Amino acid sequence: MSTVTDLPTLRTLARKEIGNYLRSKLYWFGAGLLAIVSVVGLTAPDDRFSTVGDGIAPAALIGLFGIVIMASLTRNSDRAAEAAGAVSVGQRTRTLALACAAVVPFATGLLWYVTAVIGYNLHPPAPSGVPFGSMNDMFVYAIMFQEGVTACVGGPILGLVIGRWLPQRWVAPVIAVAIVPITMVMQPLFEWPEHWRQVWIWIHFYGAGGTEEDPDRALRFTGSPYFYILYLAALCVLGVLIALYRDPDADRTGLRKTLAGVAAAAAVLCILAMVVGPNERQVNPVPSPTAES
Amino acid sequence: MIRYAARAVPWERVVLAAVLVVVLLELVRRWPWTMWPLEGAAVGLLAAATGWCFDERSAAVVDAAPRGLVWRTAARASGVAVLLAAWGVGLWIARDSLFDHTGHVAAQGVAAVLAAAAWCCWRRSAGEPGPGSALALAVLPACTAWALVRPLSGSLPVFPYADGSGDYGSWDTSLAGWSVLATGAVVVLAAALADARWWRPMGSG
Repeated sequence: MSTVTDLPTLRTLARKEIGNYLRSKLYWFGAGLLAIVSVVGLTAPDDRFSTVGDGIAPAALIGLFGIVIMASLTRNSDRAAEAAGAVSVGQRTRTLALACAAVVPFATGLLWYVTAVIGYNLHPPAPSGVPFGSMNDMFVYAIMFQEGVTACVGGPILGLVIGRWLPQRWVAPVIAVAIVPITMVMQPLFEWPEHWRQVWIWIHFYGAGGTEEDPDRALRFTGSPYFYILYLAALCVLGVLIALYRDPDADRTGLRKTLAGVAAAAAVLCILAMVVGPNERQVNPVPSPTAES
Repeated sequence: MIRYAARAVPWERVVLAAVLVVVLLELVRRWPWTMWPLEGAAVGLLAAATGWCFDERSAAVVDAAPRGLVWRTAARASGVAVLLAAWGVGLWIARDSLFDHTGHVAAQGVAAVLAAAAWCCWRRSAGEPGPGSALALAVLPACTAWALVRPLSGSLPVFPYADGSGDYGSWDTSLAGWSVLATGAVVVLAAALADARWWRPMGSG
């Protein structure tokens, strides 16, 4: 039963997995494109929303890619352990080391976040964009963090779970694609999921959702981005625990208790993300540039 | 050949991909303005699934057998035919929502399939057993993310949008790029299938 993790081994292995993550061509492809997006955000961002809407770039280029990269790293780790035979490090330590490698996409997300915040302050959005009404700069920083940085960590953690439970090579990229249409619906694309969309892993708290008279009018959707960030953090912890649970030598009784506790905390945070904040859409009083006068 | 194709092509995955391609294009048909990135994801899925068709798990045995790469590629192309049929059905379903650029979108899918087939046959000719799975790992998320973020859409319009004006990306420029890719793919595919030893990847037999 592997309940104790040898810290020096974990440290060594974590450094190795971080190096492996940094050697991924897919990571550098995404990071290169994200650098271009960040430079555009600093020099010539969107006139109406500035860099507020750029969170999709790190989410797709680092988070979405992270699903595939981490699933591959997990498979490689298992192959190496299999080749090493009885002397190999336990699955628990290897899983934790892989989770530590998420520091690479997290740091990349943070770098993007800093440039996005600078871009936002250098080129503030138009009055017809966001923030408006009860929103303030802190709210904007929170939604940028939630859309960009948390997705950079969440994607690789999801990849770790997939790598542990569904190790077939084709599964991770297919899941990465399947997530996209669900996310598009849950943004929310329609009004019906708006009040419970927080259960999903990537959503908007504002958007050019429009009104009947002005289809591009900026809106603030329901809920609290602050609690949503905490909910996503709890989901990441839950993901690591689910990945650890795959270890046949794990202390599953203890893990089940921890899993239940974190799942309960995540559920509470999700509910708070739904009920705290406005419970109805708020409409920007300033019409969009495309509105008919 | 039929028996070989039935066993060698990963039909469950190919059929899953074919169904997903149609579903993605159906979503584009319903909400073209908001779901348009799924068109790029569908192109990526076509390329990835084409790659899966050409993986040879028993390469060490099969490569030494009398049936050559051309014969095996022809047999495995039955999986590609299913994917192209799904692409055709999806385009037909979504034809009224493709911003009057059905031909351009169709060309993207065909070029992606050709490019994936060419890459896999080239790598297979060098003895690599699973080039398709490796390709799928990169091309599927890359196409999806590119379609979502559309970086450099003004100068490098991979998946143009709406009428193709300004940042939506020019449809004609995009078509030119996809045509170059398709032409290059046909040349590489022909060289690989003709067993042209002079151009094989470095270090291969």
